[in-house]
Parts: sequence; C-alpha cells; structure tokens
Amino acid sequence: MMADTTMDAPRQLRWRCQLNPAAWLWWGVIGLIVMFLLAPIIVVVIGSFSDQAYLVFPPRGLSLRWYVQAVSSREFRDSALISLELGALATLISTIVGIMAALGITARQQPAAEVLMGLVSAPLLVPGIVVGIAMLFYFTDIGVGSTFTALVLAHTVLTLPYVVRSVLAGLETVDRAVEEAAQSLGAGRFRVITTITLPMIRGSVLAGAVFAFIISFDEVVVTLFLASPRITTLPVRIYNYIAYTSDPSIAAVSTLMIVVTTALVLVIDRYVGFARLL
Amino acid sequence: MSLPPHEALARRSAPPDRTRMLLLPGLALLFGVFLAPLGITLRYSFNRFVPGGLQEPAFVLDNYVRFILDPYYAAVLLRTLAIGAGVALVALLLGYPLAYAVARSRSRWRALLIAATLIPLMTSVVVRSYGWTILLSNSGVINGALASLGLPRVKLLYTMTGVVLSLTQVMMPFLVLTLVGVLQNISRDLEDAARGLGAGRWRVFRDILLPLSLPGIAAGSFLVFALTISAFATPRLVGGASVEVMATMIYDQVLSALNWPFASATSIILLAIVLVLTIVEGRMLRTRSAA
Repeated sequence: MMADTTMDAPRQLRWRCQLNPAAWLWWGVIGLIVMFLLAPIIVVVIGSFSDQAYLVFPPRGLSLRWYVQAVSSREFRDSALISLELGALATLISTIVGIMAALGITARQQPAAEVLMGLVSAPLLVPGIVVGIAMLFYFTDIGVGSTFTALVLAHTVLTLPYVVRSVLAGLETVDRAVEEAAQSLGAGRFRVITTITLPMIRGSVLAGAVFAFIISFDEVVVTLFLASPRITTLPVRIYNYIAYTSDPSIAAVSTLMIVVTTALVLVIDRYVGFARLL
Repeated sequence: MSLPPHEALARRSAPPDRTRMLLLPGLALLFGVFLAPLGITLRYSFNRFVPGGLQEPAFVLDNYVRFILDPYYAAVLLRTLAIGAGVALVALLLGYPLAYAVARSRSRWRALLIAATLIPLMTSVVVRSYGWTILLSNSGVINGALASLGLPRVKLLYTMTGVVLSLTQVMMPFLVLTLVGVLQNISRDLEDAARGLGAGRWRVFRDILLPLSLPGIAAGSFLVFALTISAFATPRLVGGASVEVMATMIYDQVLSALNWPFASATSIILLAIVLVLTIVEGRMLRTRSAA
C-alpha cells in the first residue's frame, strides 16, 4: 500500500491515481478503527485542559487549572510517589530474578527449569481479580496484610513473566561460541555472564524492565485488594475518584500517566524496536 | 547430530552444574507469592460461611452448589460469557483490517499503526475506562454528537452495549498483535498471484487470507474472550451496578458481603474456565506453527 521511495516520478503519480477510490475507502476505514482505539485517550487528554468545573467535551475554554489542582493535591502526589517507588522496586527485583531465571532455563534442560518455565507465564493467565483476592487472603493469613511489602511482592510476581520472556528471547540470539571462547580463555561462569552475555542482551533486558515498570505502573485490580487508604497507587486513586467525583483533575492525572507510559513505549521502540514485540 | 568440536569440548569441560541456583529465586517467588495464595483460595472455597463475615474450616461443596443452583449466578456467568463473545466478535471485525494494514504496509505507516495499537494497550485500563465514561455518558461525546445531528440520545453508560464497546477497545490490541504475526507469514505473492489471475479483493480475502489466517483468528479470539471474561475495572466503571459480571461479583462478595468462601469458589470457577480456554488457545497456535 505504500509508495516506494525508489519510484520515479511518473510511476509515483500513477500509483497515486490508483489510490482512488477503493484505496481511499480502505484507508478511511483503517483511520476510523485507529480513531476508535485512540478515542478514550484523546478525550481524557483534551478534557484535562478544560476550564469548567466538570468535564465537558469538547472544552469550552482552555486552562491548566486542573493540572495545578492535581499537582497541588497531597493525595495525588503521595500516590504518584508510591506508584513510582513501587514500580521501581518491583522492576528492580523482577529484573534481577528474571535474568537469573532466564539464564537458568537456557543453561540446561532439567526438571526445575521445566517447572519454572511452565510456571512463569501463569500470572499472565490467571484473572487479575482471582490473583487479587488470593493475595489478599494469603497476605492477611501470613500476617503481612495490606502493606507496601505485600504490594512489592505482588507486583514482582506480576511483572516477572515480561522480564523472563524478553530475556529468553534475547538469549536465543546470543552466539554461544563467544561465551565458550571466553570460558576457554579462563573466564569463570559468573564473569562470562556479566562481561559477555549480559552486555549482548542488554536491549532485551531493557525492554523487559521497561515493560515490567509499565505493567506495575498501570496495575489496578490486584493493587485494589492490597492497597490501604495510606498506601494507594495512582491508578487505584483514579479508580476511587471516578466513582465519586467528575472534576477534570482526574483527567489531568490520567494525562500525566498517559505521558509516562507513552514515553516508555517510545523508549522501547528507540532502543529495541517494535518489531521485537510482534 | 554431532556437535561442533568446540561445543563438545565445552560440554565435557563444563564445571559442576550450579545453574540450578539461578532458578531458585524465581521458583521461590512463584511458589511463595503466587501458587500459595491460589492454594489458599482453593482451600477457602470448601469452607463454610458464617454470616457476619467469618468462615469456619470445613470441607463442603456448599459454595459450588450455591453457584450452580442459584439462577442469579447462572445469569451473571451467562452475561459474562455473552460479553466475552460480543467483544471477541467486534474486536475481530475491527482488528482484522487493522492487522492486515500493519502487516502489509511499510516503514513510517507501519510504525505509526503499531504505535496506535501499542499506546492504548500500555495505557492503564483505569484511564481508558475513564475515557469511555466521558464518551458514553448521557451528556457525553457520543450523545452530544447525536444531539447536534438532531438524533435522540442513547443510553450507553451502565449498559451492556457500553461495556462491550469499551472492552473491545481495551482488548483489541491483543488480537491485532496476534493477527499481525500470522498475516505477516502469509506471502504477499499469493495475493498478487490470485489478483493477477483475475480474483477480486473479496475473493482474495475469502479464498486465500481467511483460510490461511484461521488459526490466528481462532487463537486471538480465544485470548480476547479469556481476557474479557476476566476483566474487572472496565465492567465496574463503565457498567456500574447494572452490568454485573463474574469479576465484579467476586469483588463484591469479598469486600461487601465478606463471604470469602463463596468468593473463593466463584474465583476457582472463573479460573477453571480461563484455564480451559488457554489450553484450547495453545493447541490452536501449535497447530499453526506445525502447519
């Protein structure tokens, strides 16, 4: 459907003429589908600049007052901080554990590796609501309760699959001969991993870590069960707000969240490429 | 198959295996923080509920029997499955053309279309559901547009239609990504050959693309179905109390009715349905890669 950049001018012209009218219809339909996907995000972003006391779309006048209100709100600031801390800590742990797991799974066929491989994707399959109540029961039962520790452990488990999958995909591309060359030159196993293997798969590690952070940063269902009024993440704060208020400060906070996740998606594209995700 | 010499040497001279240690943290986490909680939930599902928010240890099937015998819960389950089927269907109708466009376009457009698929996927489901409440409410964007065209308002928020529409947007990226993978593997030459032989677009789609992408369609639709019947935040925020599904019912049983045994049994039922679907989906994808 795309014009080749190598086309000469007359051919390109002919190609453009061919674009009518079936192709126009086709791209029109594709445009509408894309609009459908982006619509809820667009209304939140545009609505956040409204100057009204409740969200009307399209806004009658523009202002930044809801951003000012959101940023000066203690509740939103605290939640943002907790979301960032939680995301960073869960990502750090799941990246370390995930790299180790992926290396262990790749290293040798053994029963424990099979078990881990089979288990590691399970948190993706089990409905969030089920994981949520299961963890509420469990953490209550073992006396951890609704604490930051419980949230970190929960988010680590939920993000681990993304790290392991990404690192495993990276390890598949590693040329074993390079590792073996280093080993035969006297490098120990640990040294081979830290100086040869990890640098070669740093893109996959980065992609896995960024994914893990996004998943943690966006997570709402499991967190809803483990959060307490004092320790609440941004998505849970937004969730609770939507039920009671309709002032556009939620739209402002949501827009800030969209900015963070979109920036991270672009980071993945920049350093690893979307192609890796397909 | 014989190994290249350097590899055979490396295998023989490998130091005693300590790679098992690498697996330990992952295993500890998954057993300690994932399987153990699920185990407790399974155990609770056989407990007896004591009105007032307690439970007593027991080994009874009361909670499962209650779910099966009470028509109210059957209705919730049916509604959940109907929403799942509706979302899978609409997502397929909208996702297939988009996936085809991604698979067949190049460079700049391709990156843009992928970004348009991934950015919604990566945006928190709470934020997207919030966006849908703005779009669907009685004074919202869609009704505003209808009114300005002189058309009557339609109630969308807190209805099945609204829930299906918003969940379609939430889940469609998963289907698109699955389909792009399948459609990319169908050679463009096949289409060109058919068109060269005089087949119209519709025939190319019906006789070539559709049969070849069928495993991807099935796998992607099953995935979307499984994710949809598990969804909580969107049905709660867009559907409210009037569109009760399995996930919102479990939530209310835990936090409002405080009936943990019944919530556990309902969770196990939902989990069982999703696991069966996942196994079926896995089979379908394997058929694809074997073909």
